[in-house]
Formats: sequence, structure tokens, C-alpha cells
Amino acid sequence: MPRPSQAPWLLAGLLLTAVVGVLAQTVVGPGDVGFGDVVDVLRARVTGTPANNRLADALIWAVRLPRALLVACCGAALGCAGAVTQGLFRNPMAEPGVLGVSSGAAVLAVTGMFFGLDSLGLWVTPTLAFAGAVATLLALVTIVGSRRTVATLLLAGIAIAAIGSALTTLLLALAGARWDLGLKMIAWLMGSFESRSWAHLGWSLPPLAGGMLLALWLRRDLDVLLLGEPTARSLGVDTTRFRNLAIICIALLVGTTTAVAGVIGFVGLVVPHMVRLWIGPRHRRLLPASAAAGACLLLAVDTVTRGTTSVVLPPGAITSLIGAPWFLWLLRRRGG
Amino acid sequence: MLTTSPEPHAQPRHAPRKRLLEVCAPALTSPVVALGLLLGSACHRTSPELDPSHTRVISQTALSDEILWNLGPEARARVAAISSLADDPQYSDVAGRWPTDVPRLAGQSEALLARTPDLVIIASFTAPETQAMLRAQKVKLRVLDGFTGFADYRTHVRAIAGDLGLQAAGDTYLRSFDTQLQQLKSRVVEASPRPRVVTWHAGNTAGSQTTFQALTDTLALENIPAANGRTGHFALTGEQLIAWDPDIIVTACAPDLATDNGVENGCVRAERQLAAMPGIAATKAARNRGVLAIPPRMLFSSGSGMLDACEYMHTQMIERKLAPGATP
Repeated sequence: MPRPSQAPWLLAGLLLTAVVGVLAQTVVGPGDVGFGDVVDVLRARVTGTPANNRLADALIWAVRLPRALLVACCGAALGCAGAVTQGLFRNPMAEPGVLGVSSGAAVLAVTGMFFGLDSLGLWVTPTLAFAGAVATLLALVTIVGSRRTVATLLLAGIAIAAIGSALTTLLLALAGARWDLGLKMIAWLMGSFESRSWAHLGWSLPPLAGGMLLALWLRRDLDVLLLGEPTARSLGVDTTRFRNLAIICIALLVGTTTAVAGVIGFVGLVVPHMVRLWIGPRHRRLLPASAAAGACLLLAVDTVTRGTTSVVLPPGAITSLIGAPWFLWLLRRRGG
Repeated sequence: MLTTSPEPHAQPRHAPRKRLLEVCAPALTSPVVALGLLLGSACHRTSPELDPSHTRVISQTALSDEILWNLGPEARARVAAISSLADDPQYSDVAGRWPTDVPRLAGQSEALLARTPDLVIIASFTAPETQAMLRAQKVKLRVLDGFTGFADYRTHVRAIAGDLGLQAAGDTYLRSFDTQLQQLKSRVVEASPRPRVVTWHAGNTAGSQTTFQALTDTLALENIPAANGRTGHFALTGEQLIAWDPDIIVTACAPDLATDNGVENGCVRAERQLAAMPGIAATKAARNRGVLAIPPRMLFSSGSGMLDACEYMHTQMIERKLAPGATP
């Protein structure tokens, strides 16, 4: 049974967990780095003096801290995008990928790798991926046109996602003879936070912040839409405008996440669902709680995998492996 | 750099087999695989034991393309097809050398069978279905297995030369190769401790039992992943790379890149980009010009390109004062 009164406590707990997760990320991993080094590096950065340990400074400031913050931001974005998607389609099994935004982002990113454009700089692949996400969004809006019902949107999104997947598969097949290119493409498609830096965080923050603010702005319309489209219209919701804004919101959040970290599934599907089971469907509480839970889940997965193995594991696969059994247990416990 | 010959490629001498091909090829190239298999079975040769001096060979690995070329004109004359990687300068040491009339095949069973080869050279990682189909057609296979350094390379050269009845040509070639390798080794000065090196390309590195280990052994360097007990190729995080703080980081590069300002040396750019990466910039390698970018045909080679890679790395290390014995 949902307990909306627990929402503030849940949100506070999740935010605290996220902060602890970010701090934990800075000491987990290879190299002899402890909390003392973290304090020393942060002090040095704040005061502008050189850190005592050159390698600790490189590991904590240049690698771990931006990565941890990016992981948290991407998890939050995916959780929030999932809540908006499920509200838009009024279906708890909908996930952000159904609009084909991730697939579209992947096509352009992989195309850039195929033609060697990524060698021009670190910014190329994220830029292409984001351009792919925007192009997919424009294609979706154009194709659906004025017949913008939820069902048409869903079907058009599925078709566009299928085209994107097919094109990506074709490019992978063509790249098969050049094994290192194929390896690079597959690694990107699996999703990764490896070697992400302050630059990646800087590129992603504005669109992610914009997407989340937009989601919060849409919270009342999302609530009203739960009553059905005709009811929402009768209550004064401009459903066409609402849908356009919701699509832009999802594209900003998912497109940016895919651009900086590759395709990460599952978070957008299950996190909002789990949070909804706990605190109910009101988006005023659901959106921030989903964002915080998404951040915590992705941080936990990234910290645990980095701390337990030196093998680079795709976060999307691990989130599914950890979250899905928990989700199933929760469904069974709560009677579906 | 090794044995090459200006003689043109000669056409194979197999008129009777060509007639057989005319009968069987349409069936073998049919898109209906099952039918192709049935008809192919009806057309297969009954005896796989052939006179090595008349062996009609198809190469399906970049390494065997290179070995066949280096074995000289007699070997080249027996070649019915080579791999589709043969012309790729990123991976092939003999790119642009094989005549254009030699077909390039990408491992499709039908296309291979249609050429009626006596011997197909494949790798252990060739699709098992392709291997099974070729075996079912009684085609002799030379499966190259083990790509971990100079010893494996010598084994492969001897095996292919033996298959073609050209043992003498194989021995001559290997003598020339080993002479150059010994000359290089004699120029390498051992330092104590050895400079610590890691190869890192597209997030992957190489431990022991790899060609990179062979390069580091030759150049008296310590391959850090191998020293940490890691074998084979595996993904390496940038974080671990920084924590190891190597003296030298070796990566691959495209030698020439077209840019707005003309052609830029892609290796210089690759070194600059890697050395400037967050975190990596703090390593000894990045601070002391120890980031070495070398063309992939050398770094990824399991053939004569390994020797080129050693020469290239040695020259670069001397120039940058990274090599043992260089001026501190």
C-alpha cells in the first residue's frame, strides 16, 4: 500500500544515500587512496594549493569525482524520464526507450565512430549522439503530426526505435572486419562511465537540468492525465501542448544521458515503478523521488562493480541484474 | 621490409578443377544453403591428399596473406584468393601489394568453395560453422592458432611453407627475419629497473601471452599488466592506468589524418590527445613524453609487423630519452 506521508522521509533518505554514494566513489577503485587523500585533494582544490599526492589528485579530482557526479546525474535523469514516460503513456511498463530517442542517439554516435569522426575529439561522440536524439524527436513529431494520440506516439516510437536498432546493427556488421572499431562501437552501445570527465559533466548538466525542471513543471498535467485524456481535456489541460513538452523533456533527459554514457536501460523502467509502489502516483512526489532513487541505484551499481572487479562491466546490464529480482520480489510481496 | 619480390602474380594452373567448378559452382553459390550443401557434397573431391607443389590455396587471415606474400613468387602463384583485410593498411603489412585480380574473400563458405581450393588457411577464431562446412567438403584446412609472439609467428610461417612444399623458402625468410630481430636486440640496453609500460587502445590492454608482451620482452621493458599477473587482452579502466603510473603508454594511431589544414600526422595527434586526457595528464608517461602512438598494423600485428613495432618503439624511446641507455 503506498504511503504518501513517507515521501519526504524517503526523498531525504535517498538524497543522503546519493551524497554518501558520491563520496564512496572517490575512495573505491584502484590505487592507494583513502578519505584522508580525498580531504587533502579537496582542500588543495579549494585553496588553490598543490595536493600532496599527485596521483591521488589525478584519481580523485580528474577521474572519480566527475564520474560519480555524472553517474548520479544520469541516474536521476533516467529515473525522472521514466516517471514522465509512464505518466505520458499512463502505463507503468512504458520506459523512455519507447520513443526511440536512445536508438536515434546510438545511430549517429556509431556512424561517427564508423567514419572515424570520434578521433577529432572527445566532444564528437556525445555531440553526435545528442544530435541523433534531437533528430529522432523531430522525426517522431513530424511523422505523428496532428494525429498525436498516445497510441500513435507509442507505435511511431517503437517503429523509429526499430529502424535505429537496425541501422546500428548494420553498421556493426560493416565494422566487423575492423575488430577494434567493432569493439569500440559495442563498448559504447553497452553504456559506460569509463573515462568520463568534468567536460562530460559540463556538457550534460544544462540539458539535464532543463529536462528535470520541465518535468517538475509538468507534474500537475501528468497527475490530471492519469484520469484519462478526455477528462484531462475537460479539466483544461491542453493535451497537445502537454505531449509536445513531455516529449521534449524525455528527449532532453534520455538523449543527454545516452550522449554522455551510452545506452543504459532498466533504470527508467523500474525505478519510477518501485517508487510509485512506495509513495503513490502523485508526480509532485514521484518525480523527485524517482530522480533520487535513479541516482542511488546507478551510484550503487557503479561503486559496487568498480570496487569488486577490475573488469569493465556495462552499468545497464548490472542495474537489470540487481534491480529486476528486487522488482519481482516487490511485485510478489505487494500482490502485483 | 622483409622478403618481397617484384615478380607479377601468376595464374593458378588447374584446368581440370576449373571444369569441375563450372559444373558445381552454380550449386555451391546458391543462396539456399541446404541445397548448396547437398550439391556440394556430390561435387566434393574424394582425396584431400594433394601434391603440395600444386596446392591451390585460399588465405582468410591477414597474417597468412602476409606470409604467403613473403614466401615469394612461387607461393603467390598458388593463391586463389586472399582475405578482405589484405588491402587494409590498418591491419595488413602487405596492403596494396597483392594484384587486384586476386579475389578478396570475407570468409563466406559459398565463395570459398566456389574457388575449389585445396587448402584454406583460417584462424582458430574463424566461425565454427564455416570450418565445419569446409571440412565436410573435404577441403584441407590450416588453422592458425596462437598469436602470442615471435615463436608463434615462426610456427605459422613453417606450417604454411610446409603445406605448399616450400620449406626452403620459409627457412630463408625466417633466417632474414631472425637476423633483423637479433640486430635489434643487440642495440637494446637493459636498464634496472626496466621502464614500466602499458598499451592502451580503445580501453583495452595486453598482458602476458600477447604480441605486446613479445615487444616488451624484446625491448627490455616491464609490461605492467603482465607483471600484475594478467594474461591476454582485456579492458583496462583509465583509473587503473593512472594508478599504475607507467613510464610509457603505447597506443595505436592512424598515421595520416585529413584535416582542414591539410594532412596531419595522426600519431602526433593521438599522443597529444591521450596525454591531455583528464588524469592521464598527471602520469609519468604524459609528463615525460612517454605516450607513444604507433600505427595499428605494427601494434596489432602477429607477423613481421611486430619487428617493425619494436624498431619504431625503440627509435622513439631513444629520441625521447625513454629507452634504457639513453641520455637521462
